[in-house]
Amino acid sequence: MTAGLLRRAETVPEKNTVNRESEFRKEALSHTDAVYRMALRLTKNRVDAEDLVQETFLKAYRFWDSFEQGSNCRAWLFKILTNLFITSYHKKSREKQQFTYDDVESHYLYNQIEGGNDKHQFSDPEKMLFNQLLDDDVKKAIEELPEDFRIVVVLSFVEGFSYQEIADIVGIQLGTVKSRLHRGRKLLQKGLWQYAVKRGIVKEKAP
Amino acid sequence: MDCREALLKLYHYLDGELDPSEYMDVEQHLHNCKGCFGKAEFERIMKEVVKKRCQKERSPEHLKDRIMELIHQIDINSEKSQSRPADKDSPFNTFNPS
Ligand SMILES: [Zn+2]
Repeated sequence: MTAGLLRRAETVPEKNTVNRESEFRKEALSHTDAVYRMALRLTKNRVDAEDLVQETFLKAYRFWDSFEQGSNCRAWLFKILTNLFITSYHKKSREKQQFTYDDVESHYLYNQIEGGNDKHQFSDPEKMLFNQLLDDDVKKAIEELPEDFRIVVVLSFVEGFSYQEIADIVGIQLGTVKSRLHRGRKLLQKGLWQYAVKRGIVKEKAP
Repeated sequence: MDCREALLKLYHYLDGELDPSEYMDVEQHLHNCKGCFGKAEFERIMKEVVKKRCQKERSPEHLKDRIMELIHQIDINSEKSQSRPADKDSPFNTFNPS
């Protein structure tokens, strides 16, 4: 096809396949662990997480030429991942979203531990609490957050993205990032508290 | 800065989202106020713990391999569909316009 030849002649030297693949491997695939962990928190299981990661990287590769070299590749991958999850995976999974938005007080966990009458079940409450919680308790507490809150909490807490980066990744306003993160934090504290009670690390107080 | 204002800005402070002068104000307050300092420390530790506990998983090796394989397949297919006779002899695709 002449059109093809012309196009190629204009863009010489064209990025060849070998270069493109090795560049992608170096720039994008180096983030696989982080992308996989995010996928795990979103889908809550390994099989779906692997599918989502694979889909993310294949899509990233198709658009690799449009990725601006030197810009934040990790954020770009998380954007693709989050988008795929929200638009496609989410529809399939039909996650139960009946969540009662009862308001949780600020600094819930801190107040539970530091406040109250039976003050000081322990001398170093933070260490005591956090050391005894299992990795799985923390992960489950996150996974039990409603999706909207879970996404911003993971992007902020675990991945360390800035509020603005999170807004870009999720495609929401900066103010929405702040309010979701604020509420997500409170809900997470409540969740962690419930696991601490379940593990017998703390005694449940009468409400 | 009073306790109310300090706590209002606490999360932004912990997330590194305050400008330098606001940051200093909150820091100053935490330095002088035991109550707020305790809350801030607790929140800071919680954030760290969540991060640490959630960063241990590694993606399975076979996943990376599979992705590279699929990507390679995409390239092969797109090369085929573009039918470039000149490419056949040149695995490195050095196109010479002259
Ligand atoms: Zn104070």
